[in-house]
Amino acid sequence: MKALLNTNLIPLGLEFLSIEVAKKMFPLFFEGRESDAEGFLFVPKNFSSKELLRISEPSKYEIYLSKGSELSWVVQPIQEGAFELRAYLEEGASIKRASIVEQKGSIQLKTHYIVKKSARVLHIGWVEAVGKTQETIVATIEGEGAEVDLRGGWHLCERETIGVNVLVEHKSPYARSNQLFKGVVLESARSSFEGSIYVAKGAHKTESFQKNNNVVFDQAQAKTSPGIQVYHDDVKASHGATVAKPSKEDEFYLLSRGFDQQRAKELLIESFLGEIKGSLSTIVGELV
Amino acid sequence: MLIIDNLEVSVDDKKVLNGLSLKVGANEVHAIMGPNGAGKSSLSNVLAGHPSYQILSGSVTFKEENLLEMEPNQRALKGVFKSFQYPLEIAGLNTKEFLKESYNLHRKQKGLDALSSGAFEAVLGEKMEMVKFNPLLIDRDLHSNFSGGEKKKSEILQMALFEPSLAILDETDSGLDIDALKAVGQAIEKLRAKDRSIILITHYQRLLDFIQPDVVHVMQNGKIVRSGNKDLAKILEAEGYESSS
Repeated sequence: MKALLNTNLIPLGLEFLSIEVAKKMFPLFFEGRESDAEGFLFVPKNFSSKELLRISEPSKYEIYLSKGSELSWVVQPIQEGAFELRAYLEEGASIKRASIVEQKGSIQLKTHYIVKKSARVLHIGWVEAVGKTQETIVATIEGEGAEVDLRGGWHLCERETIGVNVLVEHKSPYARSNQLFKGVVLESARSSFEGSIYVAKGAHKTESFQKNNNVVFDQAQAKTSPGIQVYHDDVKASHGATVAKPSKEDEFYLLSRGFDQQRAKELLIESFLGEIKGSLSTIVGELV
Repeated sequence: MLIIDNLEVSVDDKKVLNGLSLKVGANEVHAIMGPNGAGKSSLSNVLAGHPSYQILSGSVTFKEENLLEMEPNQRALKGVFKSFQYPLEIAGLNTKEFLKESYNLHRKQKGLDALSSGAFEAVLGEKMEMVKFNPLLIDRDLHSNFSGGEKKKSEILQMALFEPSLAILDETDSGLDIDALKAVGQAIEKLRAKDRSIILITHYQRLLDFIQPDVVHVMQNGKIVRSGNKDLAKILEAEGYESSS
């Protein structure tokens, strides 16, 4: 296994295993499927730590969170490449995952959560990169009472690009999911968002919401494509998307309070993205 | 303080000010009344520098400078304050942080150093008390989930902080219940000061129960059609605007 982590930062009580060792130790977990992961992390039952696991180099991991365990996972690339994570959450487990992409070049983020009964996912991505970012998030909800909260924000300029694909699959009843993605693109930047909600037959009492809001300056472009498929009655599900130029009235209000045009623009961008950035700080605290 | 001479203005190819002239002296309070569509709010937007309005002719002199040549933020920093009829909600913009940064911009304009957070909080506390602003709102996003009355008080709080030479209060009384109207009216009255002029734009006489104007004007079709003392407001309340036509 590549030395991808600063071992000083691994919370006490956890150990990364090579995938070969993991297959021997947890054969049932890998039964019937191939894994091309480079490393495996087993999080014991009821494990909890306030320390953050920080990933900074391209990597491909699988995590097994045992019943009632909690983990915080932070991705901060220092070089371009792919950062992949497949997290399996047992009953009552919880993961808080944040990514902060400020690295130039091409960055791919792929995350797949398999979420069992009463497990919780909080996933927040922030991109302010000089380059090209692609993020794919899949959450497969397989247990009642599970909660999945997916958020993302981006602030791009020049010729930077981002593509975000999100799929939330509700396969069990009485689960909740929320998607909130907000982007600001300036100059010649481009963004694309594709979001899907899938509610399977039998997943009654599902609550699933998706929102993507974009503000577009200059010659920049934002595309958004929300989607929803519901195969059961008695479900609350909605999606909404906006692509808009900055509000002239908001800008005028700030100008009339003495802010110059540049600062007014900055304040409007900061306030629009503040909801995402603020929630990011609940995971990574002082890093933001 | 302010001299508007024969001002003609359009917005979206529609003429909204049609040869308006008005003189407001230092320490004077002028009420501008008139029916919907008379151009009252347009006047306040033009004075504050809203970019959608096109000046066709005429002049506006503020403290012996050409106001129309100034950017909106320059007007604000030089002492022109417009309170909005519909104060905007800006989600994600913390009210206190917004006020502190704006307040310090005004101080910088006056050649004063920026206040630290602690010193600003002291000033802010005093002004909130003066205008009876609910301190529980100060850490919320700007005007988010404020009631109509709270939004108007927020505007008056800003007026109290920035200490403008000319305050243009655009329908500050609209949408207020009688208690909120009284509170806002009394707060404005407290902010009457030497070297401060106020233009009160209003539909109704009721705000003038709390603030005694020096002059009352009637505006119709984009210009002042009648002026008088405070008793004119009561006549208008009784007879309507048609009597001024």
